[in-house]
Amino acid sequence: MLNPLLQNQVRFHFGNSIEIPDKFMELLNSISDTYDQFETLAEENSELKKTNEQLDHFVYSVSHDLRAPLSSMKGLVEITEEETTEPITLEHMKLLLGSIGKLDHFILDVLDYCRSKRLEIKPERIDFKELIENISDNLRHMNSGNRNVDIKITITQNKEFCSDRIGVGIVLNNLVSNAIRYQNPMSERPFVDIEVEATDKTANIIVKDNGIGISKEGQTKIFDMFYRVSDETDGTGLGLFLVKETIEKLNGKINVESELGKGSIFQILIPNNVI
Amino acid sequence: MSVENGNPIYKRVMIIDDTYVDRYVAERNILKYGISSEVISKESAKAGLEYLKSCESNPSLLPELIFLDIRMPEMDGFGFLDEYEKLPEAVKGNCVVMMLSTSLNPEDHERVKGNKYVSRFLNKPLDREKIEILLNN
Repeated sequence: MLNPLLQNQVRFHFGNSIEIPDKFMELLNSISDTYDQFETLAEENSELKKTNEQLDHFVYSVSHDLRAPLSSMKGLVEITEEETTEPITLEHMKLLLGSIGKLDHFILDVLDYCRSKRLEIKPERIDFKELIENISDNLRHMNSGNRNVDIKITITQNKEFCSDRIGVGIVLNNLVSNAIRYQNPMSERPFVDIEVEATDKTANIIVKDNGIGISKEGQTKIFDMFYRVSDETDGTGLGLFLVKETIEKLNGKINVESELGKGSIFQILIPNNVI
Repeated sequence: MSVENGNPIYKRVMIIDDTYVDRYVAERNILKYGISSEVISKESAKAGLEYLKSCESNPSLLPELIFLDIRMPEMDGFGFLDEYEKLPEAVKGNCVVMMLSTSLNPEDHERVKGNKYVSRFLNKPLDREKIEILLNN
C-alpha cells in the first residue's frame, strides 16, 4: 500500500490507469517508505515542540507559584526589620532573609535545570550584546547586593553566531550571578567584567570578577552536582554543575582560574553552529 | 496611616493584587516612603475596573498611578489592561500603570512593551529599594 501522498503524486503525473512494471513498483515502495518515515518524523517533531512549550510554560508557572509567597515573606520581613530597633528581632529578621534567599536561589537553579532538559537543541542566532544586557538588567533588579557591583560588558561580534540560545543564556546568567553573589565584602569596588569575542568559528567568553575567589581544592569540585563551598552563602551546588552540563551539550569548553581572596576568571569556548 | 517623608509625590494611587500580604506590604511602603498620601487597595482586576468606572462622575477621585499585579485568578493583569483601554478617556485620566510581578517570563515583558499605559515593570515585593527606584525616576 503506497503512501497516500506518493499515490496522489503518481496519479497526478501518470494518470489513474497506469500499469506499473514490477521493478518500478519496487522503487515506488522504497520511496513510499521514505515518505512514511518523513511523516512520522514531522509528527514527532511537532510533538516535541509541543512538549517543549508545555515544559516552558510549566517552568514559568511553577517558578512563579513557588517564588511568589517567598517574595511576600521577604516584603513582610523587611518591613519588620525597618520598624524595629530590638537587636534580637533584627538578628532574627536577618536570619529569616537568609533562609528566604537560599530557597529562592534553589528554586531558580532547579528551574534552570529543568529548562536545560529541553529535548531539542535548536541553533538560533544570538546577539550577545542583547543577551548579556538582558541578563545584567534582570540581575540588577533581583537583589539589593547587586547594585554595588560594577558590571562591564565588552562584546566583539562581527559575524552571525548561532547556538542554543537558552543554553548560552543559562550559562551566562549563572556565571554573572555567581560573580555578583560571591563579591568580596572588603572590596571597595566589586566588579564583573564580561568579555565576548565571537568569530565565525567560536565564541570566546570571559567572566572575570574580584570576588572572594575559589581555593585550589574547591576548583576541582565546583562543577560537581550539589557541591557547595560553605553553608554561609546561599549557594545551591547546582549552578556550576548545570553550567558544565550545558557547555558539554553545546560541545564547548570551560576553564576556571582563581585565587582565594583575589577573584576568579571563568573562560568559555562555544563553537559557532551557524548553518 | 500618615506619610512620614514630607510631601508625597502622588495624591492617590491604586494597588491591584489578589494576595493580601502583597497589598499590605505595598500599601505600607507606599505610605511610609512618601509615594502617596492615599492608597486604594483592590483585590481583583474586576474590582479595580469597577472603582475606576465609579469615578466617572467625579474624576478627582481617580488614582494617578496603578500598581498592577500580573498573575491573578479570573482576570489577570493583561486582561485588566485590555479592559482599561476601553474605558473613557476621562476615567483613564493621566494615570500611569506599573506592572508588579515575580515573573521572570520574558514573554510577559514583551506583551507589555507596546502598551502606552504601562510605564515599567517592577519585581515584587514593593519594598524600600523599589520605591527608591521610583523616587529617583
